[in-house]
Amino acid sequence: MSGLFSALNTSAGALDTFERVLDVIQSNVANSSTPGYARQSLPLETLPMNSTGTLPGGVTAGEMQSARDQYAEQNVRQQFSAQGTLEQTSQSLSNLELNFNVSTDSGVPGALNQLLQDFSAWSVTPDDGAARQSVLDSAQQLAQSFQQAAANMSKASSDTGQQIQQTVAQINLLAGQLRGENQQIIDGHTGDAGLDAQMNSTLEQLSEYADITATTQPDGTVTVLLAGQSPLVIGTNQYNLNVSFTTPPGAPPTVAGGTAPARIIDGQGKDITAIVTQGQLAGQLNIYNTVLPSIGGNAYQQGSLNLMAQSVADRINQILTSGNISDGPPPVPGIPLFTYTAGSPTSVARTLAVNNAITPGQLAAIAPGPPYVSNGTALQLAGLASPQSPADEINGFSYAQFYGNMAATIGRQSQDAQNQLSVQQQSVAQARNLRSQAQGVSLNDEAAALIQFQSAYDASSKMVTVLDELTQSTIDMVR
Amino acid sequence: MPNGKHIPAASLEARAEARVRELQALVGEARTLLTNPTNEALDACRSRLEEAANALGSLHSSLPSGYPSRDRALVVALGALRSEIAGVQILLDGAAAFYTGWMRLASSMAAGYTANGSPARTETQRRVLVEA
Repeated sequence: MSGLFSALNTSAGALDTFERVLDVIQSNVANSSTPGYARQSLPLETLPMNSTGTLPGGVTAGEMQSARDQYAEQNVRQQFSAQGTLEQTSQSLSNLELNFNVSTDSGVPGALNQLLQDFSAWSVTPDDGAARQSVLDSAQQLAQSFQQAAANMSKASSDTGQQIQQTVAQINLLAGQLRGENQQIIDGHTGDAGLDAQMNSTLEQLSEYADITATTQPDGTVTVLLAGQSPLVIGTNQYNLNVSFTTPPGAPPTVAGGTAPARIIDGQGKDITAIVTQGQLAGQLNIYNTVLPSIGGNAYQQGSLNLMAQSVADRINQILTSGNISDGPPPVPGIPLFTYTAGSPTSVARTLAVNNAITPGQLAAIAPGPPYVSNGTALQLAGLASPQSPADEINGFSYAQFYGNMAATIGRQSQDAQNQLSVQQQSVAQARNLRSQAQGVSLNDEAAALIQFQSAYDASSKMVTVLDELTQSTIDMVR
Repeated sequence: MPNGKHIPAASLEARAEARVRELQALVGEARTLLTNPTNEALDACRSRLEEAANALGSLHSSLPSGYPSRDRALVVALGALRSEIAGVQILLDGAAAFYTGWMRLASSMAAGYTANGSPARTETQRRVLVEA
């Protein structure tokens, strides 16, 4: 933020000037009845900027103070919203991370590793019944692991969908409280400190769920907008939000059988999902519409878990069906090991199963060639552990690496969210302290303090840059 | 190092890592100070950052050339230090953004807006007109 304070001196000067104008106005008011008092005026001069120019007109000290208080309150609410996003994201990703164990002993990677080992053992003794049975057992285990992973993703999606509905209900509830509080103001409770505190508390709670802006109207009521655009409360009118789990009219599904995204619909029936970028609701929408579909799929993408399940099943089936179970004559061709529901790319992991019709004796070990190799397909299957061909990979990665990347992405996102949350909690504390600092300070004093702040900020900022560069340089040296 | 004391590489690595962890704690103190960004806190923050930068500079220059590469523990410690520094930067910028935003708002209240929507500059040169 190097150019952040480029205009600070000018702005602080403006504040200083404004304070003097207020002093003059107050002096005029105080002395208005003093005999012989000479009225003073201190005009503000704006730089010409267009043919009509702009002048403030009508701003009083009270308005200025009120503006500063509202600004400080809004800053606290913004930081709360950002914290809400990160809390939700961190919690959801942390839960999701538990489903992605990269240990080679369990889950999908464990079952895959075992199957590849059993392929290898089978290639050594291709006619051994026990080795063949082990392959079938491991295949069964792998299918179940994919099913379990898909079920976990499905549950996470369902839970998040419910959370979205609960959050929207909570937003509507709090908006209803604010509407009631506005009604009390209209009924004559203006200036009630208790009511004021209650409204601020309600607004702060609301800001945890979504990014809101609140402005106090001349009649004392508060207007609340979501993301600065969509009305939630105006006076005694409340505009409820709704959730829709449907694809938007302009974006039909591109993947058959995939679930629709969650969409937030405002009181006017407008889809405002894209502008909900802060607060717990934004975190939930991100998990439901982006993070989970990237793994489990939705109406617009297959999801990496399904892609992996399909790639593994298709490749193993392809190798087995290219081989022969026996030489015959006539030669008996191999049959697929895995099945899944065709035509629904997002259901592959959930429906992956071992072919009911296959028996240990029907595993095709023979590669008819040329060259003819009696354990050729078994060897080829064992080779999937260290792929030598793009056909045995997904996007350039072995199956184990692909799963590892998927788990690592979730882990990294989870860690990032936790780190950011730690800083954000301090940002909330900072915003609260800045709000306290702003109270009871004259504008003149504040202007003077700001000049000092600029100097202190510049010095600290330069130190941060130096420290960061030094750290990077040291990392480069020892990496 | 013919006349000096020979320090085993493992010991050197452990010392470097411990030193970086100390610096991380120092920067962490600076970060905590910024949760209440008064001018005094900012000065205290700067002095800690300066101390950390000096110490890191000394550490950097003390590492012998050909320092064991792939010192995983030290890289992790330095990564944590960088995260701490990034946290300081965020809080520093957060405080600055707060004041800048308020300045813009105050300025616009005092002088209105220009045609392109930014707050107009207020002429700070003052005149007093006295009407008899």
